[in-house]
This record gives sequence, C-alpha cells and structure tokens, in this order.
Amino acid sequence: MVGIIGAGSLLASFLLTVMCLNQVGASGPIQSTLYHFMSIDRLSLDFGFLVDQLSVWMMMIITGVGFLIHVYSIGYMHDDEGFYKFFAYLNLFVFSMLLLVMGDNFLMLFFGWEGVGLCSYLLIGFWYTNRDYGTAARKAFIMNRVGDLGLLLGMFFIIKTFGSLAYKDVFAQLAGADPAMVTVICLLLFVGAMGKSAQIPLYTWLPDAMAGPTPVSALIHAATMVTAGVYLVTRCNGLFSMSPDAMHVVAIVGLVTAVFTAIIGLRQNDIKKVLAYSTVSQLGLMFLSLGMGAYVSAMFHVTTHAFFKALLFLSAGSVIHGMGGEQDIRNMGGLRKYMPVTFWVFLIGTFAISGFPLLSGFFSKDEIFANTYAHGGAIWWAMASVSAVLTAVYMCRLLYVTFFGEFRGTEEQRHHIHESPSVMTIPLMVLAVLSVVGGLLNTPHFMHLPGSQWMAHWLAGNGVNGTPIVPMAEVHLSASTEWSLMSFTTALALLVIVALYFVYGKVANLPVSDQKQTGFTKVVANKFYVDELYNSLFVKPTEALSKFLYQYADIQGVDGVVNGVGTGVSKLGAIFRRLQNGNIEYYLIGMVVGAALLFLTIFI
Amino acid sequence: MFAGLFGKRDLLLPVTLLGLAAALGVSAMSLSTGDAGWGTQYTSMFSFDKYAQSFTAITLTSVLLLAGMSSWGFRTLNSSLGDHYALILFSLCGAVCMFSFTNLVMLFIGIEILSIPLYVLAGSRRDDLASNEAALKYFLMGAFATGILLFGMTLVYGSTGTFNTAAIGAAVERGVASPGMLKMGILLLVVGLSFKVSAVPFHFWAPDVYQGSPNTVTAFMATAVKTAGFAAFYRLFSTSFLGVNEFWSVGIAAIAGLTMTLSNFTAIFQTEFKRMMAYSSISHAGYLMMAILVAGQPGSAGAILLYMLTYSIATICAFSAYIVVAEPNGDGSFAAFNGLSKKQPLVALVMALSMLSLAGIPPLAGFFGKYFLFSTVMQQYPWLVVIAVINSAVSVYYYLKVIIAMYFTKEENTYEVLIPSSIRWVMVAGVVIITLLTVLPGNIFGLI
Amino acid sequence: MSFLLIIVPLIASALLLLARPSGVRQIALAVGVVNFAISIFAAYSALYDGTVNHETNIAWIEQAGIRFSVGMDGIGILMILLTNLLTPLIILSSQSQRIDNEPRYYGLVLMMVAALNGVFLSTDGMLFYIFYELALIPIYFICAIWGGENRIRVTLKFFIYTFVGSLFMLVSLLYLYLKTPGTHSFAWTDLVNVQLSTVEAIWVMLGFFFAFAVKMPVFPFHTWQPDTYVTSPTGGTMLLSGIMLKMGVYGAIRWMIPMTPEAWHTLTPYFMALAVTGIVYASIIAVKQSDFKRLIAYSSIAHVGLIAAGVMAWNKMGLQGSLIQMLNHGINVVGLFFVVDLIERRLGTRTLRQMGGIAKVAPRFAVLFMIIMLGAVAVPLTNGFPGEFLLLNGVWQYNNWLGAIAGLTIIFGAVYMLRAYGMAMFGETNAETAEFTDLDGRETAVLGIVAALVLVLGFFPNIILQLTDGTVNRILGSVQF
Repeated sequence: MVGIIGAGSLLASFLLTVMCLNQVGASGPIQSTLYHFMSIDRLSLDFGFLVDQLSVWMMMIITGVGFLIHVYSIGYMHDDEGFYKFFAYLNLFVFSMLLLVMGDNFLMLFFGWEGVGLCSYLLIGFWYTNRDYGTAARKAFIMNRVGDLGLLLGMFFIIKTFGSLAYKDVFAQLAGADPAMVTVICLLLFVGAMGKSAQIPLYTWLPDAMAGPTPVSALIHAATMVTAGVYLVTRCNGLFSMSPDAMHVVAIVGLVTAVFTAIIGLRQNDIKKVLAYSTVSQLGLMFLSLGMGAYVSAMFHVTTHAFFKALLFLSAGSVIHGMGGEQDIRNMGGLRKYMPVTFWVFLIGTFAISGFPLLSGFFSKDEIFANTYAHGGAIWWAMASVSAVLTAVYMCRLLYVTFFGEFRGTEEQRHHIHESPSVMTIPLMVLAVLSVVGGLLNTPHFMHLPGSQWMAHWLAGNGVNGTPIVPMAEVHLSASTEWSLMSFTTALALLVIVALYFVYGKVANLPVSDQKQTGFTKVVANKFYVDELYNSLFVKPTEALSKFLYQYADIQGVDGVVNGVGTGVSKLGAIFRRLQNGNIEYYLIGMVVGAALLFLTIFI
Repeated sequence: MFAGLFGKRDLLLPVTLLGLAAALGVSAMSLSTGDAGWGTQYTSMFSFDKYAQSFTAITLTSVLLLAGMSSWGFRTLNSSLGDHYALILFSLCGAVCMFSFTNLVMLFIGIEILSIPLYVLAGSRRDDLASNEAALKYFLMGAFATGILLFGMTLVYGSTGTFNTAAIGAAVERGVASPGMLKMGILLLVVGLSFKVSAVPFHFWAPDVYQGSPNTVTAFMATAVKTAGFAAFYRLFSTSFLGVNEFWSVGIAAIAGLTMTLSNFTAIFQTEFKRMMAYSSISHAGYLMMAILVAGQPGSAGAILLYMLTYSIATICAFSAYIVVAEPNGDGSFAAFNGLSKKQPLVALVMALSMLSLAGIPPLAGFFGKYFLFSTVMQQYPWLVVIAVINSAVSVYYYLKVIIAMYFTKEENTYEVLIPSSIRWVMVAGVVIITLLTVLPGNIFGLI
Repeated sequence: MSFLLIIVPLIASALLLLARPSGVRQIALAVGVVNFAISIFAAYSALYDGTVNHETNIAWIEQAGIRFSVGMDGIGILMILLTNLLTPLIILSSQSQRIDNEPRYYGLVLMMVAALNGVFLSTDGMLFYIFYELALIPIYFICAIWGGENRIRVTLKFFIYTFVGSLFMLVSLLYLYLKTPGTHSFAWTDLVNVQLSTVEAIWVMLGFFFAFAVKMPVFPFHTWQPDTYVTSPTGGTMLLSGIMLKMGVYGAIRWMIPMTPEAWHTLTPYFMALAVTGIVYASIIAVKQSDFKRLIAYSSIAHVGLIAAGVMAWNKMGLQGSLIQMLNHGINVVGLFFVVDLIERRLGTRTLRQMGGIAKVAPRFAVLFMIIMLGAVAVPLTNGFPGEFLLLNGVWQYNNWLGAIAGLTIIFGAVYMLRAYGMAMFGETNAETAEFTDLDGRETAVLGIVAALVLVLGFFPNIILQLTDGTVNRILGSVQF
C-alpha cells in the first residue's frame, strides 16, 4: 500500500512532467508565482516556478528515473521496518529536488539545494541504530554546508550586483555587469557546486554516503542530487561564459577530480564504493565539460549517466540483495550463473559507462572529449582520455570479479543466492534499454544520424528572457578530427574490455597483485588517506580548540576576569575590615587624622 | 514619664503613641495648609518653616512605627519603662530643634538634647557588657566631637560676628576679614557634624555602638538621629556657607566618596545582621553627603527628605523583622534567618522588601530615593555618581545575603519565630508606606 | 491596550503570590492565553507605518519628569508578540515538571511577564529602566529557589553582573535626562533630540552598551550565561533565553542607537568584531560540549551574536533580520530547552554520552525534535532560515569578510546540533534509554506548537517582516550616518 502511494505519486509526477514537456516545446517556458516569500525594500523574493526547457529536462530525469527507483525500492526495502518512512523521505527528496530545478530564482534553488541535503542526511543515516551510518550522514550534511556557505555568499554578491535573485532579472543584466564581480560570483557558486556534486576537495562524503540503502545511492548520489551542481552551472551559463578564469577553475577541478577518484576506484573492493568513486569521477568529467563551455555536453552526460549509473547501482543492489547483504566483491564471483538478468543489465551498464560504441555513454563521453580537444587542446584531451581508460578498467574489473570466475563466498550465501523479484528487475531492464538508446538524444553532427543534436537544439530554445537558455556552441573541428578522436578512445575502451577479461574474468580468484597491498597500491587502496588528512586538518583541531576554548579561554580566561573582580572586591573589604578594631583610642586617632587631612583643603 | 511614675505601665505606650500622633497631625496640617509656620520664635533662634515641618513629619512617622515596635522591644524592662519612653521623646525634641534652628546655639542645644538621652539609652541594658561598652564609646567620642563642634562654632562666630545662620550667610557672601578663621571653623563644623551622621573618617564609633545598643535603640539611632543629623547639616550649609562652597566641596566630596566605599566594602564581610546594618547605615550616610554638596540647588532638600523617609521606614521594618527572629533565639547572625520564608512568610516578605529598598532596586521606594539624590548631584559631580553607582552594586551583595538565607538556603534552623501583633501592625504599616512611596514618590519630593 | 498587557499579569501575579488560590496552573495558563489574545488583537488593530499605537500616557512622578507612558510601534508589537506567545508555552511546559510551591512559582513568572511587557512598551526612559530592573527580581528568585546545584553562587553572580550593567545605563539615562531642555523629561522623543558632544556621547553610549552587552550577552560579557542557564529550572531558562535576552537587543535598537548615533557609528567596527568573534567562539565551544543544556546555552550565545551583528550593521537587511530572528530564536530555543528538560526528567541526566537510541523508542518525540532542531540549524523553509539569511546578508553588506566569517555559523551550527541529535536519538539504546516513554499529551502539545511555528514561520516569513517594515524604515531614516 505504502509502496503504491510512494511510487504512484512519482508516476503521476512523471506524467505531469511529460505534459509540461509538451507545453514548453509548443509555447515556451511556463512561469508562475505561488506566493510572496519575503521582500526587503526593492528585493522581492517569491516562491515562484519557472518550467523552461532546461528545468523540464531535469524534471524528466528526476521523475522518470525516480519512478523506476521507487518501484525497485518496493522490492528492495520489503523487509525493512522503516518501509513507510523510507518512501516518505524519498518523496520528500523528490519534492526538494523538483523545487531546486523548478525555481525561478536563486532562493528557490537554495531551498531545494538545502532540502536535498537534508533528505540526503536522513536517508544516508536511515538505519540509524548504527552510529557509523549516522556519522557518515553528518559528514555529508556538513560538507554540503561548507559548499552552501559559498553558494550563499555568491547569492549575496548577486543581490548586490544585479539587485535581484530572479533568473529573469539577473540574466537580463549580464551585458553591463562588472567582470570582476561576475568572476567572484561564479567562483562562489562553484564552491556550492563542489559541495553538492562532490568535487575535490569536498568529495569525501560521497563514498561514505554508501552507508545508505542502495536505492538511495542510486537516486540521490548518482542520478539527481549530485547533478544539482551541474544544473546550477548550466543554468548560469551566461555568467560563467563571461568569466574565463572561473571556467578555467571549473575545468581544472573537474579534470583532477575525474582522474584522481578514478585511480582510487581501481583498488576498492566494496561494490558500492567503486560505483561511488566512479560517480565522482564522472561528475568530474561533467564539470570538465562545463569548464570547456560545453554546457549541453555536460547535461547530456548527466542524462546518460543518470541512466547507466542508476542501473549500475540498482543492479549492485540486486547483487547485495541476492547475496544476503554482502558487499565485498572478493567474496563474490561467478554470479552470472545465479543472477542472469542482473548480470546482463550490469554488463550493459558497464559497457555504457566504458564507452562501448553506440551505447549512450559512448555518445555523451565522446562529445565531452571532442569539446575538450576543441577548447583546451591536446593535453587536456589526453588527460580526459586517461580518465576514460581508468573508468573502463575499474568498471570491467568490477564486472568480471563479481560475475565471472568461481564463487568465493560462503556455503550459506551460495544457497541463498537468487535472482531478484520482477518488481526489482523490471526497472533494471527499463534502465538498461535507456542506457542503450539514450545516446540518440544528442548524436553529434558529423555522424549524420537523424535527429542529431536534438538535445542541443532543445536547450537552445528561448527562455523566459527571450534569449536562448543554453546558446548553441559550435564545435569547430573537422569531421575527420572528430572521427579519429572518437576511434582512438573507442579502441582503447574495447582493448581494456578484452584485456581485463583475461586478467580478471577468466581466473578463479583475484590476481595476486590485487590481493597484495604495498606501496603505491596501498596508498590508492586507502583512498590516498584523504579522509585521514581532513580529520587531522579540520576535525581534530576543531575539537581540540573547542575543549581548549571552553576550559581555558572561557572558564579561566574571561570568566576569570569576572570572578577576579569579585575577588578583588572582597579582598578590599577584608582590608577595610581591619580598620575597625574596637579600640577607642584608635578611633579617636582616626578622627584626628581625618580632620587634619580635611584641613589640608584650606590650602587648595 | 509621669505615667511611668504612677506605675501605670499599660498606659505608657498608648500615651506615647497618642502624643506622637497628635504631633504628627499638627505638622501634617501645617504642611497642607502651606502655613509658613509659626514664624521665627524665641528671638529668631527657631523657625518652624516648611523644611522643618516636613522633616518633623517624617521623623514622627518613623518614631511612631518605632514606638509600636518598642512595645515588644522593651518588654523585658520593668521599672524604667517610662524613663525609656521619656528619653526617646526628649531626644526627639532635640531632633526638632535641629530641624528648625536659625541660630548656631540652637543647633548646638539641639544636638546635645538629641545625644545625651542616647548615651543613656545605649547603655540601658545594665547587665550587658556590650551595651555598656557602646554607651561609653559613644559618650567619649561624642564628647570629643562636641568639643570640636563648639570650637568650630566659635571660630565662625569670630570671623562673622554673629550666631544667626542667615546673618552668617550674608557675611560669608560679602567676604569676611579673616577667611582663614572662617574656613577653619567650617571644617571643624564639618568634622563635628560628620561624626553625628557617622561619615568616614569619623564613623568608627558607629559599628560598635550600633551593635552594642539594645535593638530598639539602634533602630532609633539609625533612623531618627541620622535624619536629624543630615537635616541639620543641610540646613546649616545651605543657609550659611553657600558663599564659599568651592572651598568645602572638596572635603565633603572626599568624605562622601570614602564613606560610601569603605562602608560598603567592609559590610561585605559581616556575618552579624546588626553590624551589617550599621555599615549599611554608614553607607547611606555616604550617599546623603552628596546632597550636601549641592546644597541650595532646587530639589536637593526634597531628595534628602524622600531618601530619609524611605531609608527610615525600610530600616525600621528590617529591624522589626530582626527583633522577632534574633532576640528570642539569641542569634543575630544571618544564619538565624534561614528558611524564614517557610516559617513566617510575612516577616520574610517584609524583610525582603526592606533589603531590596535599601539596595535601591526599582521599583521599590529606596530606588526613587537614590534616583532623586543622584539626579540632583549628577549635573555637577557625575563622577561621584559613578562611584555611588558602583557602591550600590556592591551593596546589593550583602543585602541579598539576608534574602538568600531566608528564601534559598537549604540549611534550616530550629528557631521559633512568633510575631506579636504590635510588630505585625508595624510591619504592615511599613509595607504600606513603602508601597505608597513606590507609586507616588513625587509627593514627598515636592514638599520642599 | 498596552496598559492591559502589563496590568493583567501583574494583578494575577499578586493574586497568586499573596492569596494562593487553588487551580494555580489553570489561572496562570489562562492569564498567559489572555495576554496572548490581547497582543494578537493589538497587532491586528495597529498601523504599521512607523507610528506608535495603543498609547497610554499618564503623569506619574512629575517632579522627576517621569511619566507612565507606554505604546507600541512595529518593533514593539513584534516584541510583545514574542513575549506573549511564549508565555503560555512556557507556563504549559512548566506544568510538566514537579514544582513545589506552585503559586509562588507562577506568581513570579507572571510578575516577570508583566515586567517584560513593560520593557517593550515603555516610551519613557525611566519607566523603561524601572521595568528593565524589575524583570530581574522574579527571575532571580525563580532561579535561586527552584534551580539546580550551585544555584546560590551562580544566580548571585548573574544578578550582580546584570545589575551592575544596568546601573551604568541608569547613569547614562540620567545624564541624557539632565541635558533635555527646560523642565527635563524622560520621554523618548525628548531624549533622542538631545545634542551631545562627541566625548559625552561616547560615555553615554558605553553606559548603555555595557548594560545591553551583559544582557544579550555579547562576548566577552557572556560568562554568566552558561552557568545560569544550566542551573536554572527549565521555565527560568526559557524565560531568560526566550525573552529576557531580547531586552538587550531591543534596548540597543530602540534606545541606545537613536540617542547616540555618531558615537555608535565610531565604535561599531570594534563592537562588530566582538560580535563576530563571539559567534565563532561560542560555536566552537558548543561543538564538544557534553552537557546538552550547556550546549544549547553556548549555541544561544552564537545566535545572539549574529543578531547583535545584524543590528550593528544597521542596514535594512540586518535590522529586519535581527527582528525576525529574535522571534524565531525565542521560539526555537524554548522548544530546545523543553526537549532537554523532558530528556532530563526521564533519564536523570543531561550528558549526551549517556543517551542514545531514543528515536527507536519514542518516534513522535524524534520527529518533533528533528523539526525543531532543523529550525535551529536554519534549514530553508524552517523559521530559522529567513532570519539567518537576512542577518548574514546584512553583516556581509557591512563588510564582506566579516559576513563570510559569520557565515561559518551555518557550518558549526550543523556540526554541534547534528552531533547532539545523533548522540541522543540515534544509535542503539542503552539500559536507561530503553525505558524512555514517548511524549504525553501536554508535551506533545508544547513541542507540536513549537514545531508548527517552525514550519509555518519558515514558509511564510513575510507575515512577520511586514509588521516591522514600516518602523524599521522610520528608524533607519532618522538615524543616518
């Protein structure tokens, strides 16, 4: 019952979104204000909605993929006693995410932004009796908050520079804006995006967020919430395009993140952790694309990534479900015999993300690389390709180790393994189909397929200001260059897929090199000790400072002064008290002395 | 007194009360009819003007309450009860003289009439060593101070040629032939009068004398005597010495500051209620000295009037509560008050109100007394007001100690506290007056 | 109308203290609700263009220029709404506790409410001072009689510290008063028009500032606060943190700044530095607190530091932010202290380490606590957000860097509040917490009302902002630098 309501509401939302899609396609953006939130002098902040080409696209992903994940959850969370709570939180999340993309001003975006952060906290720590999960949830929330501070400051700058937070007003005044201000704004907005979309240095929360139930990881940490940062930058593409410096920063951060986290993924053994690092890496790619000015490519990759990453996560969930909770791939193996459906969809997902020709990931990644080559040059492209290769490596490793070879788990697990019920596998299959055909949404020009660059055209439609939301960017590369770039990366991908089969797929157990962890591999396996670094840089000093301030500064320092006043007074009193000693001669002398002193005043 | 002679003990109190009430009624009537008084009497030595009338009225009020208190306070006395009342009334006469003098000699007479009965009363508990000591100390030091006072008067006469206060004032304005003598005289007068009101550094007698005397007598000393002293002090200086006020202001300011500070800080350490009240009394003297500084300014006399009234009533209420707690149980320390709020809530409430009023916490009457005082002084001596304010804060500490003992402390004592009805009446009357003053302090202030 | 707000609780208080009738709880609650109704009515029937409504002006002590004059403008209306909204909640929450000698307790509470109303309604300087001090007496008694261990020393310190502060304000007031022309007056309009030399103005302002800085409290005058909050009974702490500390902020906005604007402006950078330091300082200390009540006390210092900073910024954002945040902080902090109280009543401890897993056994409590906690952390669409947003923007407009530093409060706030919530509610239950009973009817009512307010005021902050908009415009217009 709960499941039907939970998932049903999303289905309804999806259908409504389709209707919106039609309407926007026919007559342009829809804008409506629900009520007046608050206003300060001329700054008016409204609870208003803007459904235009960009936002409705995001809405499709959110409600569509969301619906599939809700259905899946009916099966996955079946035995959990917090079943109803799960759907409540999940729906709350979708509500917040929709607020984020449907808002017509930055404040609405911020509402949704923090809202999804909150739901992420609630859902990561869903199984709250485990304190570690709670810590992970807190970490996510707090890291997000660090980013949010940046976003907030960026909003302040926007108010000061443009006098309004509404997209309509801000983007209409871009032409006359001070470039220095714009750069600052972009950088601050990007800080927010770094937090929400887990870019370096604010990414460590995402792997820990795997503590939450797998559907949560799929929906929030793959398909939607983490893409909020990409959405933000795309929405503000006008601003970013005005600031080459900011774009540069975005690109660098994206690229470094992409490569760095891909390396870490190579040596992770928890099935979800690999996918988590993969997500961060793919997000890095998206930001690289944004930094290169290829906003559409980034959004395209958001879309395809939503498909195959959700697919991968949900199938991982299926594996975990079937293995009775096991998540370590070293204890798996040969699962394709036991869970064929899961195996096939996982395979599709792996190939999609690796860039297997004609699957969705192939198209979106290639577009990013092409743009990188066009705007950045060969070196950037080469680095990006490295990340692509690494992606293929760790994904194939995951695929082969989990599904090929001999089963390495316990006897009890072997008995238990079963394919997941159809309520779980059907969404998987739908997502698999999408992962295959999703690429057709935005095929590149040079391939001359029907409906090429459909998405780019869609997003270039006129927004509420009458100007294109995301102006068409031309990739000035010759067709031959594009072909050769594409072939090169594709060849590499195929090579990896085949080669790794022999390293991981054919053997029964994990290769010895995998099992040994020395030197550099050890560093990688331990995630480059970044968490530990943060702990000693931020967490421990703060805690120490807290104790110190409390003990010394407050109790002994400031309060000491206050108490000192009191002590001083009473010491003075003690001195004075001794004057009164009961001795009458003494008193009389006192009087005489006093009188004498008084007489001195004659001479003043 | 005569009633006492005839052995009619029961008549004593009613007669006293009647007499006092009659006197009060008369002076109140004169005040309300705005009568200029009976003019100058006795070859212009004596002028019962508005000033005198107001002060008389308030002093009579306090003594009335005191008399009510005394019926129980003097219960142990048999033979000399009449004498006690007589002595108090004589002392009161002296006070009236001190309110209304227009001649230095009259002032002196008034002071003596005030003081001599007090010497006797202080030592009236013949078997109590402390009482004897108090009397002796008071007498010795009092004699000393009186001598100084007299000498001062002589010098003033010598330099101005007259004892009449108004004439002296005129002479001072004109300028005298030997200013040195005048100044010396003024200073000696300051010393003598400061002794009377227990200002530092002439205050050393006060803690011992207050503590040693019988409780009712202490109450009288703390209230009526102080009132008389300050009224006289003010009257003298505002009439006679305004011309040279730059000269004596320095000294008086110093005395005021010292008095406030020394007494408040010493009071913090007291563990005995009566001694604490002594120091509290000294501290209030310090605040009042500030009013002398602005003698002659409009409102300063009214400030003293209001302050003395609120202070007196509060002190009497405090003492009446103290008597019922301390005397039957023989314990005069703060600890005697433990848990009073549960045993006798009315008494505790009265004491609390008195303490808060003395501390000057709004909206109680004592606050307004302090307020008017500070505002008259503020314009010319802001820094002195700051010192006063700081001292007020310090004083809160020891006044609150009593309240803490009554309401907050968990340690209880097993003292019995019974309230005779006379004390109850006194307390109720006191609370009523304080409340009235809280709401309408302006009326008193505006009298002068 | 204004007069009623003061008199009704005062009479009820006298009744309770002296006559000790039965049915004390009901009487107290009824009076609280009546006062609330009056304040709603006053708010409803007032004009919001910056003028003073519902005035009562009676001569009182003419000789001293003191008049009993009260009235409310937009800011005043907000403050009395705060006071009279929280009063029934506080009374209701007190009824969950075991209090001996109830008539005295509720009598003192009502006396304090009367004084608080008086403070916010006075338009006469001395009357303001009198009520300001008067409010101190009942709270002192409440804390000292029904408080926890060490209460005598702590409350004495609190009393004297605060009293000293306000004595300096008295001196400043007196000085101003004596500078008003002719027969002096304490009326607000007259005091504001006094011309002072620069040096005079600075001293006068410092006198006021010391009083308000202790009351709010602003770093470094805050050290009385954690001990006092912790030792007080819950009702006392709620009164202190929910309403009383706002007296300081209100005094600054209404009295101090309009009377000494230039002096204020000269010293604002230092005060602003103090305030922002206080925010960060208190937040960091809160991070590692083990006593839940003390944690909230420190968090309160941090929040009030931000409110003070917003006032100091003296722009529209900052002022509106501080006003709405005063209301919302009051609501949230009352909720939080009630949470602490009900945990303490059941478990006998306030130490976070000894809690855990309560969410499992008390789901209703967990939800309501969560909502209130989110309000305290200023999650958007809760009531904490509009204030925080406006305040940070206000401070940021004053100085970008200070604004950024002050913004750290959103991070630290999340750190310590989530930590506290997690330690108390999440994890496994231990021997004591397994027995935790869920909320009873009264507790649900109190927390429910607070949670509802958190959400409603979070969605519709404009209701409150409109109240004060006109007055803030007027004040900003009249005090310009």
